[in-house]
Amino acid sequence: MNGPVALSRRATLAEARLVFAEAGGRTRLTLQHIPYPFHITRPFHLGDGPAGMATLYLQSSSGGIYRDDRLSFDLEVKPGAAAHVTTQASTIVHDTKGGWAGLDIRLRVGKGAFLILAQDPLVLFPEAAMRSHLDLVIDPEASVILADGAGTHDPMGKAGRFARLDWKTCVRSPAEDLLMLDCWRVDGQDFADQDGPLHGQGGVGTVTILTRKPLDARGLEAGLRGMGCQAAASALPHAAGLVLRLLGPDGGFIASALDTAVRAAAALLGSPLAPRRK
Amino acid sequence: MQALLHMLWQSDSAFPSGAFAFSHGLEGALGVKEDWSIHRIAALFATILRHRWSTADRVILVQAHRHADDRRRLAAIDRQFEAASLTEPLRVGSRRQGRAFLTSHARLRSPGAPALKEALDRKEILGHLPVLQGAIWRQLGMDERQASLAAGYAALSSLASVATRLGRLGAIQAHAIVRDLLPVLDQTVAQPVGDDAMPSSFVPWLEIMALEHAQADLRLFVN
Repeated sequence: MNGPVALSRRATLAEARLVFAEAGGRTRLTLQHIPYPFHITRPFHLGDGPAGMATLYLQSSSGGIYRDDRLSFDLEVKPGAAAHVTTQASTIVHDTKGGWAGLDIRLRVGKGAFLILAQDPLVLFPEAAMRSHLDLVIDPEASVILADGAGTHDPMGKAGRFARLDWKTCVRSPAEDLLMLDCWRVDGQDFADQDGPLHGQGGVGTVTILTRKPLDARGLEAGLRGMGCQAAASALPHAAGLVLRLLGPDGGFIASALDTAVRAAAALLGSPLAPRRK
Repeated sequence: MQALLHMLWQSDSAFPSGAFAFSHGLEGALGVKEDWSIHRIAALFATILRHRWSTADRVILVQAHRHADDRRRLAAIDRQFEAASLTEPLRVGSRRQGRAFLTSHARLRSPGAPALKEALDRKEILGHLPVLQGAIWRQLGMDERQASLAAGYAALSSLASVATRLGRLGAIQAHAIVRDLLPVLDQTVAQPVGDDAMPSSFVPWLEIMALEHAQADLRLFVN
């Protein structure tokens, strides 16, 4: 999936960029470049999370991701700022008809800053081939919560399988030390296999908490077990924080579980969140 | 011929590599109350081989084999495997097994092993098993494919042994699975590994089972 790009007429190339910075006790959006198909709401200050945190919804105006789309999203949170960026809903990846689509997210979070990037799960339609890469550079004194996942759906009801999902989450320090690497590739057949990686579940999610604060992994799991989710958390390598894996029957369930887990993670960090309307 | 004999020696489960103490998440998985037929256990083994061992351990082993003489590069490969091992029981298990494997080779005075053991004791390397397998087996004269096959066979044989000791398989059933999965092993080992390839692993259910297993009061295996 890394070969030469043969672009079709429908392909979308888009590079979005947002910068958050703290000013006067509130986090403000100081730079925004949001080309089609990205769309954002204005920042809200809901009075939850760290003091002055801005909440912003990230939306798509295209109805999903299509063949040969190459989307990138750069987000920077300046020192001392606090931002919560969340998608409006799951993003559909349509049949890429033998090609593939890609989303590259690059995050930079400064000293004393706080970021939640909560993405609803990708929903992979039959024959979709998707590359989803996220690279984060995090200051040792920053805290970040990442939530993402994937599920499937066949609108024709014929149990069609997606073609391929190529996933990477890479976290480095400002000195370029590799802190964490979550890298995997799977096709739709193995994703759906009763004895495959998901053991018959229809969706997978991951919540990653990057912080130097000591956290109780069990505190992250408790709320999820109550909703019937298979989930367990682990300490990350290099004492970089915690990672939570969760499995559920479909993308909708994973979206709810991710929301529950993100709120539990924020509470563990001492910055509880009010429920968000979507 | 010498390299082939070394390959047989190193894939022998009697070699004191510490493998007997680790289930690689299997004890937790097979502890789930399900209909664990021989076919389903074979499918689980195939998933572990294809989605974890082949794409993570084997990639690291091959890179370590290529750079066995470059201590700095070896340490970087080791750190990359550490960063990619998100599930703590499996990460710690790989390091503990690596230390046991290296300690045996150092005591046997295998070429390169005493120096690597000193590097491990000085914390210059972390000592993950596939890194040490690649480095030591290169010194023993095994080529990349032989080293990969030895490690893959040892991993498969270890899974079969764990399932047998847990009472999920009889000895004949275990070896039927090993026999049936040899072609899978052959196919995975044939896949090329780039020098810049990153270790990738996708076994979320097994990871969850390994993490739950780590909380259990009664366990036969370390992980």
